[in-house]
Amino acid sequence: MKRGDVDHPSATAAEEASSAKRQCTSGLSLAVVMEQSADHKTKKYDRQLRLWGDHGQAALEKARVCLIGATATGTEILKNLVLPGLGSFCIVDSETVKMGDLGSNFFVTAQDIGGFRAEAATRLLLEMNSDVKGQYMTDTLESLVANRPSFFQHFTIVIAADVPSEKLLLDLGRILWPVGIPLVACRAYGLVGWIRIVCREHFVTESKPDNFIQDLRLDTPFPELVALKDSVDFGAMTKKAHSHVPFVIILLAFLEKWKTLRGSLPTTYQDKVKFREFVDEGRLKNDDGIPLAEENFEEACKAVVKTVGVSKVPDEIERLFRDPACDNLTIFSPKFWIVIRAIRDFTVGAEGAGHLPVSGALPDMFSDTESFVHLQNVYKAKADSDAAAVYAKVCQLNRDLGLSEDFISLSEVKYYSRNAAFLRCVRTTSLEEELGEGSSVAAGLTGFSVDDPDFRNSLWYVMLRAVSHFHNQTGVLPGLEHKTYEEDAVQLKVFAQKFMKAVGVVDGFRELAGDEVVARYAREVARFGGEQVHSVAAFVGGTVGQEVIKLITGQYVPLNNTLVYDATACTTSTFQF
Amino acid sequence: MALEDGANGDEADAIQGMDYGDDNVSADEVDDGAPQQDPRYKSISNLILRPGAMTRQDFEPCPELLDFIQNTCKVLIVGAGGLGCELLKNLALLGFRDLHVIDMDTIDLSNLNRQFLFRHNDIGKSKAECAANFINTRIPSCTVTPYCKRIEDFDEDFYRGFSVIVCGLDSIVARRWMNGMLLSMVAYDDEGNPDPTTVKPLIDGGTEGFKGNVRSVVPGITACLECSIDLYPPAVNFPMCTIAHTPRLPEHCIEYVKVLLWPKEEPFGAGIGVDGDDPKHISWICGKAEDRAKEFGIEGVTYRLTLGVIKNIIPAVASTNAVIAAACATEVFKVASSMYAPLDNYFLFNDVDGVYSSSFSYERNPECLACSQKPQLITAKPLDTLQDLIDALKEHPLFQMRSPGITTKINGKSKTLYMPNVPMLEAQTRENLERSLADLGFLDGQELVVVDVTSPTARVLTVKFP
Ligand SMILES: [Zn+2]
Repeated sequence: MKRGDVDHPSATAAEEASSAKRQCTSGLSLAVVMEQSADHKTKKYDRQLRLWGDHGQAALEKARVCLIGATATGTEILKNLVLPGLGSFCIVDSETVKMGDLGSNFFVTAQDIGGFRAEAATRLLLEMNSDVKGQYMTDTLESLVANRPSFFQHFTIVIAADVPSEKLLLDLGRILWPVGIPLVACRAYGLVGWIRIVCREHFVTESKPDNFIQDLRLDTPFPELVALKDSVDFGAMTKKAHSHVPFVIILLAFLEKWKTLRGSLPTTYQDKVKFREFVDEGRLKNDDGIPLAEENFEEACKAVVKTVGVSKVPDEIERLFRDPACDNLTIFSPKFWIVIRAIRDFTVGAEGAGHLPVSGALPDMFSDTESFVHLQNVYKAKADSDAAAVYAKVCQLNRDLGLSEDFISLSEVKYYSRNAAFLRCVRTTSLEEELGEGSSVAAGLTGFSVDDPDFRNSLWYVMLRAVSHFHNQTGVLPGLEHKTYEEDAVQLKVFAQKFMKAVGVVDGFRELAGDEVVARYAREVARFGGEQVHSVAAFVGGTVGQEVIKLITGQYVPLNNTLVYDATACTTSTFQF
Repeated sequence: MALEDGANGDEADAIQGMDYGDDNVSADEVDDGAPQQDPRYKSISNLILRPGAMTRQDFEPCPELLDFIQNTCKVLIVGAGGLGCELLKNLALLGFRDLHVIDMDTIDLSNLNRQFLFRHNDIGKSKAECAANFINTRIPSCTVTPYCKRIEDFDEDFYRGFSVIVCGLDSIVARRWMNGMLLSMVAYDDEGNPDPTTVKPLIDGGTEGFKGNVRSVVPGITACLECSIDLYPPAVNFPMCTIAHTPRLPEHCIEYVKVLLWPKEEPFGAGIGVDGDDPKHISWICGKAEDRAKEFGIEGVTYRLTLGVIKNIIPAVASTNAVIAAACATEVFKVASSMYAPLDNYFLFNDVDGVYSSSFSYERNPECLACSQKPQLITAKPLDTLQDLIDALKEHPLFQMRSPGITTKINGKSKTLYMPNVPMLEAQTRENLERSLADLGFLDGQELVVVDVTSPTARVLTVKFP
């Protein structure tokens, strides 16, 4: 295998293997082969498809990732992307394999000593999954940045692993920021890890939160829901039917009664507690006047606090509605903003009357089948008609912008509409803002005490910056030589203190980060000797792998924007620099 | 390097035999002033040979410690799945050379998206053996010894031979068993203090989707895995009446076919149970569940969902396994070197929304069934049946047993009340299930000896009548 090139890619091992496979199977009809391979993939990727679905997988299989640095961190990241079936990768690394790599990097072997690290890593990574394509370049990052900046524009995402030079990172950031390609910079340094995500604008179409309050529109039922509630007469029911009314209907009916009695809906916590007692009173009683144990009423009481009085547009979505990008649509606006604008127009207009489109999802609840399915269908039908209303607005917006009316399809709009409460837009600062002149980084450096994990991680961040400055000045990493590592520690401390002064850390932080404390951190960092501890690289590699998958699929919310990992204490902190 | 490539393996062995003295190392790799180092493990030897400013007081940088990590410290990895593969790689690259791995499973196609030591050709082979072969070939300085066995197949003598035990399991039962085994190995002196030479630290990792956790246990000293047994999620059980009469979700329809229709129709022959790994079985269940769903107007029965419900599949992805196994391996390194204070004692990781982690200390539970020396009480009424008592042992949050077997002494004579896992004894004792405790001769304070898969040792419980 020779040096690859993205513009004119040479055949890689994977391509050769897959063309060999094509030859083997050419006797079978194409349709059969495709079906077998689809089935094979479904089985192979089953455990992850349950998380990000077939559409997430399709996005992953289309993605092209550039990894700068086939270091232990870099290869671990790619491992976590090659295994789930990334489309393709290209490694940029000019180093040769050294003995030290064998003790930290799983994707080199003793036979590779002296050869290009990018070649060994590419070969050993591709060997894991024949679905993935990969190539490598042995140019230095410096020369690519200087001479072929357009090279980086071929990728979905660029990852910079363990690049010690802040200047190079900045230059790379300046290439990617204007074209909107996300950059993930990261480092595993001794027992400390660092991850920085740089993306101008990233759209999350499914944030998939663990805990969320589902708006069932109990306070403001739509007409079809009111009609369904009105069709239920609690007084004229058998005992069995009474105990099988879904809790949503129970709450709707009792809210109406409450409102008739009191003039308004329960909003405060105290009101809700009283309302809960009011609902509980509604249980059927036996001949002795003792209430029966009705599971549906129990559910209704439990659901009061979480489902009553929650019908409002979530803050995150309000922020999207107020975003200038939502107001100032142009022919270049991303689909996301056109749809957000349509959802906003729907929400503030007559159709939504202050509510987001209905999602159509209904949690399971104690009920007979018929009542539940009926209720579910009412929500589904409303979700469909809301999505259709949003779609009409999207079409109109497209027409007004001079775009083709079907620029955004109904099925896409349905998807957004269903997930309206879970849409997010993530914008990080640029590297320029963090690393350049007049950086506001100091505001993020915090902590209550020297033992506070956030303080510790803030100071590790300072030390990593100091390491870069040390490297910039001396050309080597601190502690490389055993005999001078203590001297390096003293110098490193000075770099750290200079850095804190230059960015102007807040008083509280400066007091905690006194001379003795900084000296201890500097000694500890010099002790690492610029080496990579594999388990730290693996931690960073796992985390970055996941962040890259988020950026590729538009599912789950990426880190904004910095994570520091302290392996000595097993803690992480996030910072917004 | 592909496993089947024998030539590469031989070359790698030749490298392993090399002497990395000064003569064989190029000048830029030599660090004068440093004690002799294997340049491959410079990152680890820096940490071990250089004094730290933030390390523990009792951490002594010295070549003997490096020698201990590399040549003496014997680490057992329980499970060669998603976490196990990562753990083997991580520990081997941290310089541990005497690794042992237990796993009785064989490799399945659905493992390949994260269990990176296995290839398509390995499907059907032993996980432990394939994983060991791969690591031994890729990192020739490390020797991994595989055991294609169950953890229950080994006794105290086996487990006593390790310095640290690290678990990467998906089974709560197996975790509890391992926890119980390590606790039972602890010897106490007359004052009730554990003898440190009998205490084997346990690091336990677990993942589910984008969430994971690490726990660090010093058996007999810190909280054990069962001290917080209530943290384990209860098994999702749909009520039988929902499944039988009022299904609402596609899952209810699938459960109906599995629990009620399958035993009635026996579609693949008399006595043949559901095999989650047989696509014909899953297809049949899926088809019947679709019929039932249609009948009730329920949507959403798919093959994937059917498979998930029948096999109780937990979603899994490479990245979370990587994070959790990395944190576990770092903890093993800390415990083995005493370089930094070990995790105290629970680490939680979740990267659904940004990246979130937290660590906190779980207190020992003085009532813990596994690690407290206290006799355990269970309340029951004299007219409860033995079955009621067994159900209580399964459902009580502190016990959560699976299939308890019970013996006791009645009138000074040993008596087996119920023994579910030995067919002959089960048949002989089955009739006791319907009998009341009073009828069986129970008195207030009756002592029971209970065996269960969740513990390697029998547990003594005292029955308390109200
Ligand atoms: Zn315990």
